[in-house]
Amino acid sequence: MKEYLLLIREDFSAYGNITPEEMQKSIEAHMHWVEKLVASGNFKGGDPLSPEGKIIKGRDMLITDGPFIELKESISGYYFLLANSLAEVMEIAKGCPSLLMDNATIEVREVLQSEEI
Amino acid sequence: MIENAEVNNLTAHLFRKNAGKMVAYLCSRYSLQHIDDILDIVHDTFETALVQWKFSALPRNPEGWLMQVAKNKAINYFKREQRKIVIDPFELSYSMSRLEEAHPDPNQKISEIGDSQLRLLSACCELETSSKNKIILTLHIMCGFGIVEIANALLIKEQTAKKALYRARSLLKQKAEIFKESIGHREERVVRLAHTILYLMFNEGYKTSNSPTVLNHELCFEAMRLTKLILQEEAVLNHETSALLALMFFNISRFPARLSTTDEMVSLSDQDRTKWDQSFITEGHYYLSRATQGVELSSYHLEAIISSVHCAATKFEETEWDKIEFLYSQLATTNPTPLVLLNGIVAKSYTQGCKIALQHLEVLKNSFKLPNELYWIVAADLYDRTGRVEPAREAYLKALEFAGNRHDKQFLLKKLEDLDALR
Repeated sequence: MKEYLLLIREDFSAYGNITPEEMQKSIEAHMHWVEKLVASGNFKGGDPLSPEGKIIKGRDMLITDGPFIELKESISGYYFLLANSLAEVMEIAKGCPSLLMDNATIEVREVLQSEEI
Repeated sequence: MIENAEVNNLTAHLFRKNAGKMVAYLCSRYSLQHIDDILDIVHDTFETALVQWKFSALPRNPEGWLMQVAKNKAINYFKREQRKIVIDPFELSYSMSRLEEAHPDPNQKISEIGDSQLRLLSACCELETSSKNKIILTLHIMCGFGIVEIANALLIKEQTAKKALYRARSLLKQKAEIFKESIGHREERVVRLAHTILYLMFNEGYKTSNSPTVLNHELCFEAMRLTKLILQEEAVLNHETSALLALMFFNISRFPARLSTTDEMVSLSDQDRTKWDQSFITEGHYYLSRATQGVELSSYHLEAIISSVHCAATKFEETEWDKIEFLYSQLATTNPTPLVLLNGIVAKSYTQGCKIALQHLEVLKNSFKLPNELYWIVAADLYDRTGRVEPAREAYLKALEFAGNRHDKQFLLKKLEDLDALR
């Protein structure tokens, strides 16, 4: 099976209107999704990313606040999933609750293993 | 990183429950005057949980985690604020000493959190505003309900909820003294106020619980959670609080039978009683027995006992109406609300017949302002049961005119259909 990275981008500024109950529902939906993927053997790992961070750029090594290019497209977390093809992993990605619940954008990229090249 | 399938689920409504806990605790540590900031801090805490938990495993103790994060955020926030704003010296030394205390304290005493919740609840109930506004504020502050949730649960417009909330929040800031040690948040007067608000909150939920949104059930459950809070922490009026809780348990036991499979409202006489939740009935009896250990006999006692009599009948025909009639007459002497009086007449119709009940209904109508829909429903039922099809039909049509919600309307239309089938 191949390995894929899913980068979840969502709009943090929209969080202001979610109620505690809805937030709990969202967490539970993610937990159940992951639980299912673990059971089917498609899950490898995942972590949240802190919304705060810094950016360092180029030869000048200029450090700025970040990491957002735009608040609307902050990366909130990532998953590593296992699947046989991009088509298959895209089907799996459709089930990610972030799409429905947070109107997120998910970028899916295959992780290339150097020995395979 | 999540590496295995070990998922420990969150308790239902954990966030909602902890919203009130955290807000109350922070209000006691800082000041109720900072309620807006505190609500933001608590919201921020949930956001942090959302961002972290959804991509990784849950912390071992989610509740402790939430409280700790909220405390840390508050410490940072108020330190930052102190540099910015000029505070009066007394306030400063007061909050500084509080800040020092506020360091991580994993063995947070439950009673301290419970006490602060009770104080906050008292503050909400003591406001000089309508009961409805108090319920709105309590739901928001103690139960973490958002505007949309409040509007849906109470069947009001979002804009109305928003305005009420804004106003109530500014009133609440004037109640900061409730967090001072010596203030009697456990005085009878304050506890009575809390009883009334929780009773009304429960009734709001119960009344509308025949709508398909589960939110209304949750309104009842939240009212019960807060009532339990008073009982746990409170020695004053404990028997009344127990009675109130008993009444709530008996009533919610009927939830599973109140809607038919096609989502229609089912009246008490037609409910499938095997669906009544026996565990809730048992809990009702538990609290009723605690309530009757004292000498007091409050209206909550009477209502709880009435509800228990209904619960005891395995068939509608076995209902002990003479007991119920007596209890309603007792209730009417101290608490003669239109609902109590109308229910008393319904009980009378089963002990003395519909004709006599109709006479009483006429007398009542002339001396009391009765809620239209209820009056016509009772009248229609009495005519219906005496076989007077035409007056019954007219009364059902009248009731339909005043029907408040979709389920009531469906219910009345069904009654009219049944009448037509008789002809």
